Amino acid sequence: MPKTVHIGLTSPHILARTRGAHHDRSRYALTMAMFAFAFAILCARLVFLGLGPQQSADAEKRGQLSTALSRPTIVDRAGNILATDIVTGSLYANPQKIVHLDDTVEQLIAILPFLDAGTLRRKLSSEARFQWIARKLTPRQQAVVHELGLPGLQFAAEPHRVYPAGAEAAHILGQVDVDNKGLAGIEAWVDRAPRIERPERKSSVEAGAVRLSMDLSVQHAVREELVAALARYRAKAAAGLVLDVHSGEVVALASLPDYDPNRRGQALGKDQFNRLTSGVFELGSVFKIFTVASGLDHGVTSMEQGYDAREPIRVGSHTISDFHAKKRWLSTPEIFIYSSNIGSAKMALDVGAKRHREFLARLGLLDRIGTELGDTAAPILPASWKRINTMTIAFGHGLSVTPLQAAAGAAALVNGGYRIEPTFLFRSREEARVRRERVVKAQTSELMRYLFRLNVKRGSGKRADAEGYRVGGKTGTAEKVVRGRYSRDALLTSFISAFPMDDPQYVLLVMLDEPKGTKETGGRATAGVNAAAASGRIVERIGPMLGIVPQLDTKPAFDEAVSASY
Amino acid sequence: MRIVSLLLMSCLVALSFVMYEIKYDAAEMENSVAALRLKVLKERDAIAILRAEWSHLNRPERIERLARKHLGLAPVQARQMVTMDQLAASRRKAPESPLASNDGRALRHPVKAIH
Repeated sequence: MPKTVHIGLTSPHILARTRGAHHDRSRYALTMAMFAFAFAILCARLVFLGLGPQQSADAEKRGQLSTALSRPTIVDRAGNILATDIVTGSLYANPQKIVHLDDTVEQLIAILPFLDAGTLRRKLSSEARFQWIARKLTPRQQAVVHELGLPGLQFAAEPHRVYPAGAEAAHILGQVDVDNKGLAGIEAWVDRAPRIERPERKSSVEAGAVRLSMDLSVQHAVREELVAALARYRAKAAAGLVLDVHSGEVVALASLPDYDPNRRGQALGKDQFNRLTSGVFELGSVFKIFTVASGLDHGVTSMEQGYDAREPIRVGSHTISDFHAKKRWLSTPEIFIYSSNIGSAKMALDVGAKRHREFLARLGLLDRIGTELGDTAAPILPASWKRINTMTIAFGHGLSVTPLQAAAGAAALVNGGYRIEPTFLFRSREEARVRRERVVKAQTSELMRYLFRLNVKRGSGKRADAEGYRVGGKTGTAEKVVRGRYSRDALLTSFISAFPMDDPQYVLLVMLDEPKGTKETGGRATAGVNAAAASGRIVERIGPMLGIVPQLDTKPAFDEAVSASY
Repeated sequence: MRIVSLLLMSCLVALSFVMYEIKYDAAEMENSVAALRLKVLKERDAIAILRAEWSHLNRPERIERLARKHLGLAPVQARQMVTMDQLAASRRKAPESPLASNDGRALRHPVKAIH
């Protein structure tokens, strides 16, 4: 009897014969234990296979050929889809399998006339096994090509970005290229962001979608009124934005001329840039809101005090004079509503160059503003900040800022004195409360609200007074620099307003580039007749959408105070 | 012992047969899962297209155009809005409403479209 031990199924049989052998018994047990162990591993593996996530082989296969990225859906604050991926077919060829080259070229050109015969022939006769023929065909084109039944041609499913609202929010959304890579706007931000924040509430908003602060209805109304204003005042460009003063959310932003992001070919022309974030401008008298606020905040002046505005100021070769010269002493509210350059310049000097500059910096007017739209321009500051610079910046010359920056600064002046950085993404009030930072005294903000409203009731902003919505604001008419000189004919008019002034919720900025005088405006082209009027129309339309309750019959307590004290 | 061996052998045969059956079933199920998953993906793609189309048809520009044309609607004016308080106030001022008397005849008057 050989004492060999067989390992295998027969071993218990053999082992059974060597009965009584204690030594063999332990071997038997050892073998059994090894088997049990092996089975346990198998069982465990089986369980893990059952529990683990299923890999979807099909999904991988579908995306294999495509170089295009799939992107998250972008929705507005109410959940309306602004950008989403749909699946399209892209035609590719395996030149090795092409049978009749001439035939194939001829038939493809007949169906897809945008193809170039020479290029197509070169591609189809190449040595490669893979050549793109036409990307992202319509379902109809796909069907026709499919019916040709030509060998060597195949379709790959590719995600294709569509923008259902068209040009409506072009400058916020940006654009993607043929590979679905973000080129500009939020689309580019989505690619940069390490991890897309998911919206917490899943009500109507798709989980995983990027939720913007923009409201599509408001956006549409603003854009439509800007289109109308552009035509009415024969301006070269028009731009407008609505900012929530408490959360810093951009509720609407339109810059005309714009483009349809669905048309990939529509190249971004020089004229189609986003004027509100990518352009810097000398905004003119609009800047007086910051000067007056700095005067009030530093206690240099008060509503009762004022400045002598009888004589123009001469500094070296410069002369600072008033456009609507009153030639008398002006109180602070008068300087504001008559838009006195002399008064503002003197006020800024009283505040002091350093403190004036520091005040502008505190409102975020001297640094590049960071938003999700990456290509924001940096403000242009004077090379050296001299006495004359303080005086001209006091009324908005010599310092160029982005309009979005100016709107954000104005928001801080009317919202109770808090600076909050603007955003294009949805932001809750709670989050905004954490992020805000006090920059102006509450009392200064109170006075600024009063001055804003006063200027619409009594001053240059009369045409912006949308009935019932208590609009307040400041006009700015700046002469553009043409060939190194300020031009009298090329104007840039703007109007920064807030509403309702008794408890401001939104800031609206409207800007027109080179508007012309019309019959209705009596041939004038200043901000009061165009930008302010357009603002009034916009507020009338967006007020109800934003939930502002109009007050008509009962005179608002705030308006009474404005009339009584002045 | 022989019986035990035979028993074990037959068990082995039976087991391998069952194994084969299960494996075959599993493969079949896998195929149907893959087919279903493909179907789900296709449906999802179709839903994405439909949603995009729905959003396109519901874009404010088009709705506004249609509302102006077919319903005679226009942007709401401040004068067209009242709050609950104002309603209550006007009710107190005019207690005798024409709608309250005339056994509801006033209600039957055709409502003119507001332009």
